[in-house]
Amino acid sequence: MSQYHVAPEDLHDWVRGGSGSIASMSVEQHVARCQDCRSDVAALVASAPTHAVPDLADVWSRVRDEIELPPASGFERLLARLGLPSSDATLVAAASSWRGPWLTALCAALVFVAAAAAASASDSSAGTSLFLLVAPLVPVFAVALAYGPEASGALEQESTVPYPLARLVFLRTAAVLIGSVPVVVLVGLFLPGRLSWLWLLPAIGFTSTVLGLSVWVSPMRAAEGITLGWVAAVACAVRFSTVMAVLDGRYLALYCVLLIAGPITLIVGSRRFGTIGRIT
Amino acid sequence: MSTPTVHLSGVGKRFRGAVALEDLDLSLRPGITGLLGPNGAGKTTLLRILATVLKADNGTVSLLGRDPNAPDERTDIRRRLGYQPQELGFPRGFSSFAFVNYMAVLKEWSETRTRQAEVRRVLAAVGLADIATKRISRLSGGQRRRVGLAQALLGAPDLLVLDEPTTGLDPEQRASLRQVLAEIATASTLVISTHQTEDVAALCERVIVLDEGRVHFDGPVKDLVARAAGRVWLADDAEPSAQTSWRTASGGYRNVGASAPAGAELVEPTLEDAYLLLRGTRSSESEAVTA
Repeated sequence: MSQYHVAPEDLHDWVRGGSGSIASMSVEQHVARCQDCRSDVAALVASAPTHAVPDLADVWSRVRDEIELPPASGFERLLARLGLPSSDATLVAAASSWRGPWLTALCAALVFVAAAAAASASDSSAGTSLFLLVAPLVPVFAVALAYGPEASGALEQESTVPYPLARLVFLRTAAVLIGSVPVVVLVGLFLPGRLSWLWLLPAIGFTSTVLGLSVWVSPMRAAEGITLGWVAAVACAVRFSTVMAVLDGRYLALYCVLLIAGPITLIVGSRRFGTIGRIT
Repeated sequence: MSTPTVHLSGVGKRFRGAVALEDLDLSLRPGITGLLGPNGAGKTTLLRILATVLKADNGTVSLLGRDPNAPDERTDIRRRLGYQPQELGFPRGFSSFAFVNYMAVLKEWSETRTRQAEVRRVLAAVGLADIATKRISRLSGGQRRRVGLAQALLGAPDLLVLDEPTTGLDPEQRASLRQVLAEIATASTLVISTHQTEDVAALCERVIVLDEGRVHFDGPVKDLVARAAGRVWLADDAEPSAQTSWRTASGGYRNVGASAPAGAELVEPTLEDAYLLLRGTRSSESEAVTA
C-alpha cells in the first residue's frame, strides 16, 4: 500500500470532475491502488450534492440510446433543424406522405398534370379541361392519403390520446402541402394567363373541405365525394359553356368559403366529438 | 369500499338501427374485470365507450370521475387512459420502438429523454426490449399484440381497456402478460374483453357476461363457477340430455348441464363450464320465447 495519499482538495476536485487531464490520470492511478483513498472517494461521492456527481443510471441510459436506438430519419432531423419541436417533428415524419408509395403516387399524378399543362399551353381546350379536372384534386388526394385510417392504420389508438387531433391533422396536412404544392405550382406556371394560379383556389378549398368532412367520414371517402362533384362541375361547364366557367367569380368565392370553413369545422367538430373519421 | 372509477347508467348504443348495447348499468373499481360474451354481444362497443372512442347514444357515462362528453374532461380522461383495440393498426415501416415512441408523443411525453425511457420501460414490460428496433411488419401476430399492449401501458394508466389482449399469444407469453396485468391492477382499473375463459379465471376478480348488448351475469368469478356446481359429469359416453359434451383426452366424456348419467363421476366445474351453461340457458330461453 502506498504511504502517500492524494491531497484532500485534489481528491475533492477529481470527484467533481474539476481536475486537469494529467492530474486526473495521476489521481485515477493512485486511487486504483489505494484502499484508503478509495474510501475517501466513496465518502466524498456520498456527501456530494446529487448534481455534482453524474447519475450513472442516466449515463448508462444515454449510452444504450446511442448504441441501440435507430437514428431519427433525415426528414425528422431536417424538421427539427428548421425549428419544429422534436415531438412535432416525430409526428410529421410519421405521416405516410413521406414514404415511397405515397411519393410514387404523387409523382405519377404530377406527370399526368404536366402532360395536361403542356397540351393546354399549346392552346388546346382539351388540355386546359384536363388540367383543370385533375390538378385541383392532386392536393386533395395527397392529404387524404396522408392521414386517413387507410394510411396510418392506427386511427383507433390515435383517437384515445390527449394530443389534439385537429393539430395532428393540420401538422400532417402542412407537411403534405409543403411537399406537393410547390411542384404543382411550377407545373402551373406553364399555363397561360390567369389559369396558372386561379386553379389553386379550388385545390386549397377542396383540401380544406376534406379536413372538415373528416370529422364525420374518412378523409379518403371525403376526397372521393369531392372528386365526383368536381368532375360533374367540370363536365357541366364544358357542356354548357367553357371549362373556365368553374373559375368564375362566384365560384371562386365559394372556394374561398370552403377554404375557411374546412379548418373551422375540423377544430370545432374534433373537439366536440373527440375523434376524426368514423369508427364503427 | 373505494369510489367507482367507471360508472355507466342506462347506456345504450345502436348502429344503423341494430342494438349494440341496451340499458347498461355498470360500476367498476380498481382491479381486473373480465368481459365474456359471444361475438356481437357488444363487448367491443362497450370497450370503445370506456376508451372514449365512441359516444353512447343515451344514458350517462362517468370515467375516472369525469364526463367523456365534455371536451376538456375527455382530455383529462385520456391522459389517464390506456387502450388496446381489438384490431391493431400500425403505420407502415415502423419498428416497435418507433410506434410506441410515436404514441408516447401523442400522449404528451414531449421531453425526449424521459419519453424514450418510458418507451423502453413498457417494451421491456411486454418482453419486446430485445426486438424493439425490428420492423412491426416482421413480427409475429403475438408480438404485434404486445406492441399494442405496450403503447396502452404508457404512463401507468389509471384506466386500462384491453380488447382481446391474449389473442395470438403462446402459453408462456400469456403467463407473462398475466403477471404484468396483475401488477398494474393493484392500483388501476383494468377491463379485459376476451374469449379465453382461462384468462378470466386466472386474472379477474369479477366477470361480466354480455349477450345481445345486455348484462347477463355480473359478479365474482367464483359465483359464476358455483352456478355450475353439480352439473358437470365425467362419463364413458356423451349424455344426450347434456347441454354440451365432448370427448376428453382421458377417453371419457365431459357432460355439461346434464342430469347424472349412470356411472358418471361428478367433477369440479371450470369457468368455461359455467359460461357454457349460462349461454345454454340463454339459448333455451330464446328458443322458448321464439316458440
